Amino acid sequence: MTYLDTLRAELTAAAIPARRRARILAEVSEHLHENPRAELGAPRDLARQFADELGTRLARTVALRAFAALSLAGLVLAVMFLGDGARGQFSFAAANRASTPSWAVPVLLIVMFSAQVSLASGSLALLRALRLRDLRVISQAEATVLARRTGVALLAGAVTMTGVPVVALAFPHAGGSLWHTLAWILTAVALTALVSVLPGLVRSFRLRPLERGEAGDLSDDLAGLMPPSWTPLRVALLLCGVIVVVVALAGLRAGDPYDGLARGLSDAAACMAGFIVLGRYLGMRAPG
Amino acid sequence: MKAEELKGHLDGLILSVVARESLHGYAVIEALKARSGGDLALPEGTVYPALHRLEAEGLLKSEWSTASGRRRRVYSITRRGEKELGASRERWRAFSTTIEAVLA
Repeated sequence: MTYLDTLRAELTAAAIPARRRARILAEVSEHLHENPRAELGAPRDLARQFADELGTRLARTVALRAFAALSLAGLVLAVMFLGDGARGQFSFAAANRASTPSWAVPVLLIVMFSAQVSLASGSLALLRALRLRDLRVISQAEATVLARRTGVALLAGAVTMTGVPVVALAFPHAGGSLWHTLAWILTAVALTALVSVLPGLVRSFRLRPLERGEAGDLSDDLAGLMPPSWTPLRVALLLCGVIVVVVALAGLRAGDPYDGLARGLSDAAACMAGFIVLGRYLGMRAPG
Repeated sequence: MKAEELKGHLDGLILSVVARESLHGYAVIEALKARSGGDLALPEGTVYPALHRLEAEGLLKSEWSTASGRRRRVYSITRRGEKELGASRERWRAFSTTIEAVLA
């Protein structure tokens, strides 16, 4: 087996994409043509360096792109539900009216829950990507956490945005005709932005650095912002408390305190449920 | 100079030699050796992952060219790469001035 054959096998084992693999092999072949006695290092080490450097960059870039797409989706949600023509018309109270179908409340709950999951997961991915921005190589565990957070954020974001036109169908008399037209158009725009990140995300799950190391937890993500002694559970409980107070106060200000409280409690419940169910998968809690 | 000592400076060194002229991978390594009078003895394989990463970061661009019937991937610096090279030089001057002041 020649050096190039071994390198090809190692690059394949390191999940370097076929096109990139062909280019690397062509460059190394040219190098060996120039100097047949060149010391390029062991094929496994060379393949590992490619996986480390390219996988690190890919994981960070995808997390940042996903957050940009999610920000656009968040802007769409803000325009759709916080604008003058729509404010207060898509509440649980409005869903109890006779003209609203029975599935309106579950749809609202799903949209609210998935929006919280998407915001939390996307923000955590962004935090981690920014914390690791200056590192040439991150560990495989860190890259896996980044890819998982990004994936959950995109999936939940897509569920949220898909729910917007469903909400429009559930509330046929709310918002006006322009709102209903925009619900479809802006949803399509936001979903396109979210889907455009998917190919990179799939690549980042495949091509990951091979460097060993721990992924850390929520305390590492918030290092410098929280006292070092605070556990991830304590941080999650604090966040849930803040969510209840802020959303309830917003409801009070909007003149619908019960709806505000219901939203605040459901958002906090979503936050805690996400922490319990996804905490380990998303690297918020240390592996058990 | 040991390879370990060069690790943190490899990006700046590569950008510096490619800024002078567009080069393929082997020529980059030869240029590094020539400009350092042979003191920069990098493990040759380490340069290729760095070239690919610098291109992915938009600091280098590359294209295929043919020389003597053989295909080569030739790298050249981008505008962003030139800015990063300038910043890299500044960082190095500040670092070396500090170390020099302490060691002197």
